[in-house]
Amino acid sequence: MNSHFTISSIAQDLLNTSITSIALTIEKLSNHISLEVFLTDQHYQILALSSPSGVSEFTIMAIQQLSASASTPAFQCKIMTLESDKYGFATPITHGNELLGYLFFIQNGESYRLEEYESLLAYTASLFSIKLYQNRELRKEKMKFKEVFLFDILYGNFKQKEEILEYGHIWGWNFAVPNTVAVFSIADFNHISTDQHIINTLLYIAERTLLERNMKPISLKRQNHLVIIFPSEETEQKKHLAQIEDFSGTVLRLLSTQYPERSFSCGIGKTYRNPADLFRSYQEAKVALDLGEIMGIDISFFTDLGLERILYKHDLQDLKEFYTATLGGLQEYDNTNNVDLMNTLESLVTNQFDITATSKALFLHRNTLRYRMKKMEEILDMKLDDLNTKLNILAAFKVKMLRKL
Amino acid sequence: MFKQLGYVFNADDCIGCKACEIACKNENQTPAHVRWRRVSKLDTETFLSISCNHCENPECFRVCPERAFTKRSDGIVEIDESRCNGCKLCIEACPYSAPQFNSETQKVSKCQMCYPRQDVGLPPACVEACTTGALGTVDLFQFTDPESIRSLSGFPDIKITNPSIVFYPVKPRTRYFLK
Repeated sequence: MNSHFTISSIAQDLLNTSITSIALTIEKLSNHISLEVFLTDQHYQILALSSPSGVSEFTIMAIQQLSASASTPAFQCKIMTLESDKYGFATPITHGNELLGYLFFIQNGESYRLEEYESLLAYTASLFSIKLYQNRELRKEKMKFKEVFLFDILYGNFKQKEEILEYGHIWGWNFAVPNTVAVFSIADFNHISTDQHIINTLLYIAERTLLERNMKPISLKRQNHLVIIFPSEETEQKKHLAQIEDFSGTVLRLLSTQYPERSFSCGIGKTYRNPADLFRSYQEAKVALDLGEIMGIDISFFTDLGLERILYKHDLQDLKEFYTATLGGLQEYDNTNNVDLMNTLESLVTNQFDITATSKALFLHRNTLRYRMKKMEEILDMKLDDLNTKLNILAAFKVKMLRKL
Repeated sequence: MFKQLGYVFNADDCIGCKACEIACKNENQTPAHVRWRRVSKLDTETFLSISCNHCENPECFRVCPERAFTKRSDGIVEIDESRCNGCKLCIEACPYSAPQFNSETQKVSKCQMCYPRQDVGLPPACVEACTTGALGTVDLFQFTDPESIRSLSGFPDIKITNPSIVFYPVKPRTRYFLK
């Protein structure tokens, strides 16, 4: 029997290059077919790109599938980028049932048929599938050690600063600068539902946002929350905190667009120079997160929770007594006379006892508000312009909010 | 890889026999005034057996100036007594009065969920001694039971510390009288 089994030179060439790196393989592929070629992850983030025209980077806004191949998973598509719309062919890269990414060939103005490229797409997709799967498994293994290291930092298992600095260098993290811990969480987390997937998305979004800001992510996924250690590049503490607030705001905004029906919040601890103290920042961030959720604040800083933190930890019975002694009379008057002076007083407190601002907020005439204030003074038997009275009323409303009285 | 070991306490089954408290004392050889586990009466029919709850967010851990507390990867919070300076800040911070001050050694100690026993596959002494099976341990990262609840009336506020304990409440009982 005389038969020849030939493997094309392009297949052999790509196979040889794929052993070395993904970027080189993409470059080789682009040279062979003289088209722009790029590889993305499953969220359409570009991992490698090569173009005969020298395009070095662009951001994909959306992908629209135009027509699909009958025999392979390849499809013709429109790629909307920030700069312009491109047309080309793509194929999903899978391993088993798992989607690892996409491979794209971009048409350069001339019209091509999908059938001409589908066998090459299928072949290169399988090459990249092996490489991407290897990379992911390697990352998982690395993550195991990384998670143990971060767990030990966050739970105070390292007592010496030098130890942390040394281990940090393995992953390229500089713990010599001051660091702050931020904790992101999802409300009503349920570990047996799809919420674990949401936490994975949260991790992905947070890491991507950090990378966009040229920061190496230091992140740890816990059961129902995500921990980010934020290094301070700014010498000024104010600027550093503003940077964290901006980052947290961006992450929460992106999450809300993706999961509009769920609510997310973030707590931020204090900044510590010594990495051996980072466990405190972590615990503070969690306290801030919990209190922030009670007070309805999306991003809460531990340092901003002064009186609230003290009041929340105080004995409940004592707090109830204080509340009744301060505002009990007004509450009783409201109930018996079917009025809502409490709401007026609360609005007055919210507007820092400013009559103009409060009357605007309540759509009341200033004189009506003055009349109500006089009435409240009579009921409570205290002067509303006294600073001590103001402090007591403010504290009483904080108790009401924190303890849901 | 990571776990969060916690206690399960069935208030319906606890008869207040204090076997858990005695077993704890026996196992850990704590002095008379140091009570790592305590059984208290919540009302005429309900008892509560409580120890350190190995919180997800331990306040003792946050306030300790000597960094004496650590959390193991299985969620157990332990204290390194050699680092303790006896300032008692942890005692004030803990809502469950778990850290106990030893006036002889001038140091604080607390329940460590019998980790030496758990490491060799044995249950904690209190769990093993419980005469009615009211006390148990579970991995809270995996535990789901719609009948379990996070707090009992009479148990301190669980917000902020997030204690690693779940409860089964007392079931309402019907009494039948002979006419």
